[in-house]
Amino acid sequence: MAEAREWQAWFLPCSKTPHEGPLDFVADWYSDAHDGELAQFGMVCRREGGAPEIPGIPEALDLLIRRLIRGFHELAHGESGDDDYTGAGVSRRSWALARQIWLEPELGEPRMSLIVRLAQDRRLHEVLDIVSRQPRQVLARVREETRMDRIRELDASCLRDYARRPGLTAIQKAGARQTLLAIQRVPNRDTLENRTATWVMDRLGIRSRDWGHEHRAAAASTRALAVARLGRAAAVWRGREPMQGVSTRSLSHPVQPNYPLQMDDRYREVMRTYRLLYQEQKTEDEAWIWRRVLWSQAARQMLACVLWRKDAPEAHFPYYLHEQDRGRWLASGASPGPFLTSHGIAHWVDAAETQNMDWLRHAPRPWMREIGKTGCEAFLWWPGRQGGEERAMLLWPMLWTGDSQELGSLTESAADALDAFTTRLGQTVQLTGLVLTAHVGSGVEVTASKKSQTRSHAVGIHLPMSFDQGDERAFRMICRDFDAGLKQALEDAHG
Amino acid sequence: MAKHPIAVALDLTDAVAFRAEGRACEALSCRIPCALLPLHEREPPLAGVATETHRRGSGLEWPPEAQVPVLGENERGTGRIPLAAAWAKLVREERGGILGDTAFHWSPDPASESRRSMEAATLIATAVKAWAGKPAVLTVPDGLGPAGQQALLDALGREDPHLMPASVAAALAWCRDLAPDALLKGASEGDGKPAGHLWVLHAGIGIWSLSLIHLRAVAAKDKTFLTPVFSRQQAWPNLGISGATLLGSPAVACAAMVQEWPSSRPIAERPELFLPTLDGWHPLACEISPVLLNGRLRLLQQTCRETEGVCRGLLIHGAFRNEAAHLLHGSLAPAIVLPESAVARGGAETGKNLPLGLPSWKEKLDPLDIYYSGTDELGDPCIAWKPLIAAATVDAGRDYAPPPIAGLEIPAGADRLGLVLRMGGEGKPEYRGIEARLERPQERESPVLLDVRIRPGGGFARVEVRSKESGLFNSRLDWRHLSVVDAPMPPKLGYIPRSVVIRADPILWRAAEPALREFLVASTHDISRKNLLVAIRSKWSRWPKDPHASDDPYAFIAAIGSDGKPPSGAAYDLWRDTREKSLELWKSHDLEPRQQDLLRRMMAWSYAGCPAPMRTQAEAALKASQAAALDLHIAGLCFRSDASLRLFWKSLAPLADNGMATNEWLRACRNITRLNEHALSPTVLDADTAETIAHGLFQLFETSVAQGKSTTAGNALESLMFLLKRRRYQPNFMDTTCPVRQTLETRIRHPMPFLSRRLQAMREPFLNLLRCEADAKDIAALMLSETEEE
Repeated sequence: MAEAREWQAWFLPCSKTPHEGPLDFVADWYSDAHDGELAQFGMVCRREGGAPEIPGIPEALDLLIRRLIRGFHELAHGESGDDDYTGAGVSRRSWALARQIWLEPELGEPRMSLIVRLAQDRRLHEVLDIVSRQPRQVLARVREETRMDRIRELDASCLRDYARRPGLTAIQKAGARQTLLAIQRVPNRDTLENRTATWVMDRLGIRSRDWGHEHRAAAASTRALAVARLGRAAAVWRGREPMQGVSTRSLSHPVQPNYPLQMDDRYREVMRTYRLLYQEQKTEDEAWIWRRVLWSQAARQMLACVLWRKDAPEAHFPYYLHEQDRGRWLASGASPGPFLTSHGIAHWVDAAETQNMDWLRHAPRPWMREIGKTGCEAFLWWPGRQGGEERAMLLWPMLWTGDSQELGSLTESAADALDAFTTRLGQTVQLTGLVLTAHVGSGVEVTASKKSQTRSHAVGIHLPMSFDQGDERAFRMICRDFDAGLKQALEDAHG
Repeated sequence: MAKHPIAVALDLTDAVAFRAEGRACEALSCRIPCALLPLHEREPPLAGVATETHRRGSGLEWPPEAQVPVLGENERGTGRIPLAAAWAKLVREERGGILGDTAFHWSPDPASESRRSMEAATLIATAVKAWAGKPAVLTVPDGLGPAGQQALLDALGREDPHLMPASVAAALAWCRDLAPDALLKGASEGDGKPAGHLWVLHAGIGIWSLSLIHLRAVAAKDKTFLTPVFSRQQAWPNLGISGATLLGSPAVACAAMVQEWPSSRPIAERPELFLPTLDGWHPLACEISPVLLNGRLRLLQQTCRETEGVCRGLLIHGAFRNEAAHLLHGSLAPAIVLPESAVARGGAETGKNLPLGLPSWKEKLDPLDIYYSGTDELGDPCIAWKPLIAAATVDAGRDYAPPPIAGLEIPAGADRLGLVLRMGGEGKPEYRGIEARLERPQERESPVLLDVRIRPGGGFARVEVRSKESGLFNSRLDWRHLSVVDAPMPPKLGYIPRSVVIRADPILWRAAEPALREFLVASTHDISRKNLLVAIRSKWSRWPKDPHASDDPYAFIAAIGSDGKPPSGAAYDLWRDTREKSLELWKSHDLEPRQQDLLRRMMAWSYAGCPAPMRTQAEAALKASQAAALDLHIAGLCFRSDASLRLFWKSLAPLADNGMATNEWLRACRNITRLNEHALSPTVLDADTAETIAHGLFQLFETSVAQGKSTTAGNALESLMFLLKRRRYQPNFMDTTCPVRQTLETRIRHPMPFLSRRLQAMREPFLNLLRCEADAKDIAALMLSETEEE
């Protein structure tokens, strides 16, 4: 076998900008040795404005991204058990909780989310109602032609204007209209604090609408009613006369709070809500950019949850970041495994963990050193007991926004990559593959590649993007199919 | 009758965690009890059931978190810390009440070298909470000192469990289940009746320890109890053997271990690599050879033989109890192997008895003394120690509270009271500094009282510092600020505290012997007698430093001691004959006057041995104010009684005026103060006379300097120096308000080239003495000897 070389792979960012139809996205790329442009064609983007009558791929993707963010958010910030720990930036949780969030959620009542919490916040309702009726106003200094008997204040500009006017006395300079340029005090509500309040009202309206659309199946639930009420109230607040002249266009984010936003009781509440909503928006924006990473992490979580068993011989805990880092929610040291499978103990080797170390030196087996060439993001490894054959199942999580008809070719492509790698490697280890995708279709699809001469084989499990949007029965079916697909993949790996 | 809840006792000191509740006892763990170090910053450690199945540090091939060590790099350590190692670190890192670095570290992040750390006490406390919540009794290693106990109690951070040495718990289990009933005969109340002793060997996975436990048969509430007594001074917490490296053959031990405890497999695979190098496990590593082990065993056997009382046997408990019994072959005492759960059951027994007020076990406290500046039997300042904790035997669960300690003061303006503690008594003293902070500085000097409360197994003693006057202040000693300090310096002195002691030296005596013998046989009119007297006097008047007591500045030697006796042995007859002959000659008046004088002068060098008539003559001359130089010579060397001393001081007072035989007066003054311990006590010298003498001596010094009389000036200065001893009885004698002292200080500060070289060297020490700042070095310099010459 040739000497191992180091290779590095990156997730490519996507566009977060709303766009009608597919977008060709070009990004500049720099590295130590190279630079250039990376072009991605026909990229699915967020849709601008409200959701259409017939939802398309962007809407499905949007729902998936929100669903995944919410899952990770619940794990990072949700209620904790005995051995759980919520610290600075990182939370320790149990796999039981992770399984409950990803595979066994309560579908009867819509999930708790930020907009639900805000809809249930009475204090916020009161504050925004008062602010929209009596927003804080300041007296702005405006230079205007003023009748001489009403002049109170002049500034340097007014004096320069006065000097330029023809005439010797003030009466002469005032001319026929008997007016001079002077300072006038005019009430103004277009201030930073009111702009922020307006932005909050607008955002509450948008989020309420989106959330209502997302959970339209449970429109009669308490939470849905509360959110709907908040959406209506936000429209009312925004439409009130005092808020009409306030524009959010000149608001630059993140807003640096001024004195009223920090010290005034009402506006402090506005600022707190702004921060929550802005953070949520930012998280969503970033998730759109790093959607592939997000899916990759979620797919690994779901796979680990299926493999996890309470009576596993070596337990461990997953760690979650409180805020996503370029789509990443899992903290270091959080890779799962080992798992007790029907074919023995399987170790989970994750690219997220290996990328931070000298992999060529620390890889448990020599054949693993160049496994990254296949483009897999993790693999399950059965070391082989008592001289038995070593086996590994490589994992490719993929966010597929293309045609569902092409899912089969993805699996074949993975099998080809395995075949090529195995041929080069020799028969030291038996490799199989698992392609885990999210697709636009409605059910779980399982595809399998043809077996090659090297016995390399890949199975594709394709989950619908809207996998937990249906009723409980449909969701259980998806989970069951997912489980069955994984069992098939494991059997194939040891076939 | 109110029912007491069943007490829970927890034993985490060995290879299996046990929890005992009344008579029921269960093994909590099937692996070695461990705690898991955190993976992230500020994350709490994991302990309890979670560690049983957790992958961290379990020796798997993957992921790095499970590897031992992480990524195969020893410096990265492992995240799994056996509690036995944590105990060992707490025991080893304590030195005289100060806890060193007890943190465990590991570097779990492959991308960086950053380490996650956790204190041993925190790891243990987390395990205690995880396994038993709030146990009533927690067994601890015998060697866990007060600092370790306190760290553990602080980490537990709530209602304190009763900490009980494991060997005591094992002994208690034996007392309840296996001890013969005969031991309880004659049980008495209070301290009970001695019932022999037990040796208890803890042969666990950690460092083996041995303790000597005395037994007492105690009667209480119509019942009898066999009560173990634990003393830290009779415990050997580190025998240099650990279960993990049994018999110097780690591989054998590890193979045995791995069968029982799967989590020890990393050790079993590469013991020589892991034990000494892994941060978490290295406290369990012992480098011991069979030779060293045998030597240690012989030492223990000797200790066993030398221990008084009846030995009831050697209890062996712990995971390696069978191996230890095999190893010892009954060499220390008949071995009794206890079951693994004995320690927890002993703890539960204590937990049951304590709330009912029944005797359980006792501890003999280690003495702890507190420094204060006291005075010795003569009233001189010296280093003194008060017992803060006396070596008392205290019942477990009860507070030891001696009467408040008085005699300490907080100086005016001070906002803290610093104390120096002495541990280990006078044998192997270790000194520690500690302080109590007051809320506000004290306006005036305030006497304080120390209230001490200590409970066996309760960490540091609680020492409350309060003002004697109620309500002024109340504070506590802060043991966290305990620090190593040097032994306290002796107090600074304002006078030379002790009188000179002259020891009769055989060599110096022998030098004068031929002349003495000739003197005895010489005829009445022998012309050589005069020469002989001169020869004898010249030998006797030598007064060098005692070579056998070079550290003692007050020790000198001469032919005859200051007690008037020659060296013991054959010299006595010669001395008696010389004395009788001298007296006979002196009384006969046959001698010419010059020889008479020489004879008196010679006999004066026998100090207290000088014949009484000669001293009486000198006293009579002083009384008649006709004292000649010879009378003063005798007075200086031989006066001892209060009456004669009183007479001398009375005669010396008008010295400055008479101006007769000045140097003789000064020498006599110096010798009297130098040779008599209480020459300046108020019984012989009143305050006014002392002031007058000091003033007179100073005037004489001034006059002599003005007239260029260097000898007189030097003698006056030296007399003044010895006269400062009056401060012992009159602390304000020549204090800063005294004009004589002020002027004298100014004079001494400037060079005095007219003085002898010896006196010149004494200038600086004398100045310190005058300012009450003299130390031992100054005193030694001031006591430099010289052969007395006239």
